Amino acid sequence: MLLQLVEPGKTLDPHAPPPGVVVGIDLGTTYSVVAVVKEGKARVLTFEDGGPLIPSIVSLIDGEFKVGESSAETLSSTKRLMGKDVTDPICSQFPQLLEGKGMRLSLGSHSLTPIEVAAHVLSHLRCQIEQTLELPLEAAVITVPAYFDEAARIATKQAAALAGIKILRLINEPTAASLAYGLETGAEGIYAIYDWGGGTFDLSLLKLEKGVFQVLATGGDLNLGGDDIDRALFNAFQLPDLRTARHLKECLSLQTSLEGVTRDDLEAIALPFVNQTLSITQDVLKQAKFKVQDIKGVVFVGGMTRMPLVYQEVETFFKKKPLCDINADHAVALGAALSAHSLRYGSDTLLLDVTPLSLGLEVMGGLVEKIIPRNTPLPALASEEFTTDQDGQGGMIIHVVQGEREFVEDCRSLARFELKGLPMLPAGAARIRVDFAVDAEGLLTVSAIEKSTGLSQHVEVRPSFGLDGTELSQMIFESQKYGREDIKRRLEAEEQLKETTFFKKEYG
Amino acid sequence: MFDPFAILNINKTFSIDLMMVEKCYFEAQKQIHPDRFINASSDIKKDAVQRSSEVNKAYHILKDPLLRATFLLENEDIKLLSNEPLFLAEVMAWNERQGAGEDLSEELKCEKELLVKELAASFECKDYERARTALYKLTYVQKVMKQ
Repeated sequence: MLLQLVEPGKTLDPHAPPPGVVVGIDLGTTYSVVAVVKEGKARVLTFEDGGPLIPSIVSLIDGEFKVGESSAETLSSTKRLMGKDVTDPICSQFPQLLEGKGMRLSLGSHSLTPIEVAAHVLSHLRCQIEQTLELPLEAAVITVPAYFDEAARIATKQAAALAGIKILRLINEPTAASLAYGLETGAEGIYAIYDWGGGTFDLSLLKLEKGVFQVLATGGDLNLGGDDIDRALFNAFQLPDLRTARHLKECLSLQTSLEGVTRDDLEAIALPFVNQTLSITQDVLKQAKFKVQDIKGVVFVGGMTRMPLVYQEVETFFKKKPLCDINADHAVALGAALSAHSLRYGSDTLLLDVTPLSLGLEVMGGLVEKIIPRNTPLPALASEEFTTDQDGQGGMIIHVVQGEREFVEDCRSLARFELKGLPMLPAGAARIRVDFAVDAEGLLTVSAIEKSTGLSQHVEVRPSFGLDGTELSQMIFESQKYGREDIKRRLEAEEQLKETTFFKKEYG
Repeated sequence: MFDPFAILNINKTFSIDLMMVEKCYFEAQKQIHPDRFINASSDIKKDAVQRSSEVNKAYHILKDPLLRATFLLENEDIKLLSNEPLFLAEVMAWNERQGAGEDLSEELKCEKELLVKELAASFECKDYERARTALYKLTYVQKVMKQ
C-alpha cells in the first residue's frame, strides 16, 4: 500500500468545527457517483433510492424539482453546457434553451441555467450523503474533465456554492481515476488513462511512482461522448428518442442484435468517434514525446469503455490489453474520495497536474502570445513585458485568452481589463509587466504592473463567467426549496467563492 | 537571480543525474505543494503557490539540457552566441531535406546526443567558448526537430 493515512483526528485543527464527513463526488454528464473513505479504503455510497449511480438529471414532477428521476419534463446532459455561451455549437443539442435569455433552459414553467441544474444535482447528493452516513457533509472533492476550461471549472465551483457544498479542491477526472487505480494496484510506471464518458473524452498520461501521481500530458474533447453516438444512432435508425438510442447502444455491448439493429450497425456508426479518441491519444503521446511501447498500461474509465469496439481498437492502438481492474463507473469517485481524505487528514500522496490548455494574451493584429503553454505543471507562474505603441498612450487593454489557436477570435476569451492612468511617455518607453498565476486546481489570476516610472499600478483579475455576484446572491435568496440553515451555509460558501472568483481591484 | 540548482538542492554542474533531480523534485513538492496547505491562511497558501511554481520551473530547466546549459552560461556572465554562419548552412540543408519529405528524426537525435556530450565535456573543463558554440548548435537542432 502506497498511501500512508494519518489516523483521523491526529492532524485536526483544535479550532475546527465538529467533524463531518468528506467525500469525493464524480459529477458526471450522465450519472453522478459519490465515494467516501472508511477504514482506509474508498467505497462508493449506495443510496436508498437507486444505488451508486444517480442520473444527473433534473425533472419537474408534480410541480417540484426532482433529481435522478425522469419524467415528461426533464433536463439531462447539461454538464455539456457548463461554462459555455449561447453561440457554442453544442447548444443545438438542447431544444430547451430559451431564445434571447442567455444560457437558460426551460423546465415546465421554470427556467434554469446549467449551473443551477448542477446545483440541484449536488444539493440532492448532499441530502443523500447526510441521510446515508448520518453525518453533516463537511467538504468534498469534485471532479471535472481534464479538458474543462477555466469557465467550466468556475461554473462547477458556483454550482457547489449554490448547493452549500464546500469544495476542498477540484480535481481532473482521469487524475482521480489514476489515484484509485494506482493505490488499489500499487502500479508504477507510465500509464495512460483513457476516460470516455457520456459527454467528454479525456486522455491523460501519468507517471505513477511511490505515492506520486505526476500528470505528464493531457488532451481531450469536451464534445465527444457517448451522447454523440446516441444521437448518431437515433438519426440513423429514426428511433423514437435519445433514451431509446442509449439503451440500444448499451444492450449491444452485451448482445449482437436487438430490435433489428445489429452490433455491426452500431459499430459502423461508432467507429469515427472511436477514431477521434485515438487521434487525440496520438497527439498527447506526441506532446509528451512518448511512443506506444513506452506506455506500461492503459486504464479504462467511463461508460463508453464497455463497448467491445472501443476495447478492440484501443488494444490494437497500444498493442496491449486495456486494464479494466477498476470499475469504469466508480473509479473517478473513488479517486476523488481518496483525494478528499488525504487533503483533509494529510497523507504522503502527491498529485501533480498540468494545464490542459494554453493561456495567453492578445497582441497586435489579433494574435495570441502564449504565456503558459498547455501541459505546464501546476501551480505555475509566468510573466511577460509589454510596452505602448503610441506616444502618450494613457491606457492599455489586457485581454486574456485560453486555447491552442493562433488568433484571438479562435480562442476562448477569459477576461479583458484596462490598465488606466499610464504615465505620459513616448511610444515604447512604458514597461508593463503582466503576471499569470495558475493554482493547483487550474484556476488563473492575472495581474498587470506598470513600472517604468517607479509608480506601480496593480490590477488583479480573475475571470468570472455565467453569473455576476448580484445574480448569484439573488438566486440564493429567491430559492424557496432550502431551509434557513441551508441559506446560511450557502452564503458562507458564496463568500468564500467571491473571495476567490470575482473581480478584485487594488491600487497601491 | 533565479537559481534552479539551489532550489532543488543539486550541485551546480552540467552533468547531473536526472533520476536524482526527479527525486529531489518530488521531495520538494511533497513539502511545499499547495495541497499540503489546503486549510491554511490565504497568505500561506499564496506562498505555497509561489514556491511550488518555482520548484516546477527549476525542474523544467534542469531536466532540459538546453535550458540547463543556458542557465549555467548566463550564471558565468557569458553572452550566448547569436550567429554562426558555418553551422547555418548545415541547418538549411536539414530543412531542405526535411521539406522534401525525408525523415531526419534518427539523424537529429544522434546529433543532439553528440552536442549534449560536447556540452558536458566543455563544462567539465570550464571551456565556456566551446560550450556556447555547442549550445548554439543544439538550439538549432531542436528547432529543426520540432518542425
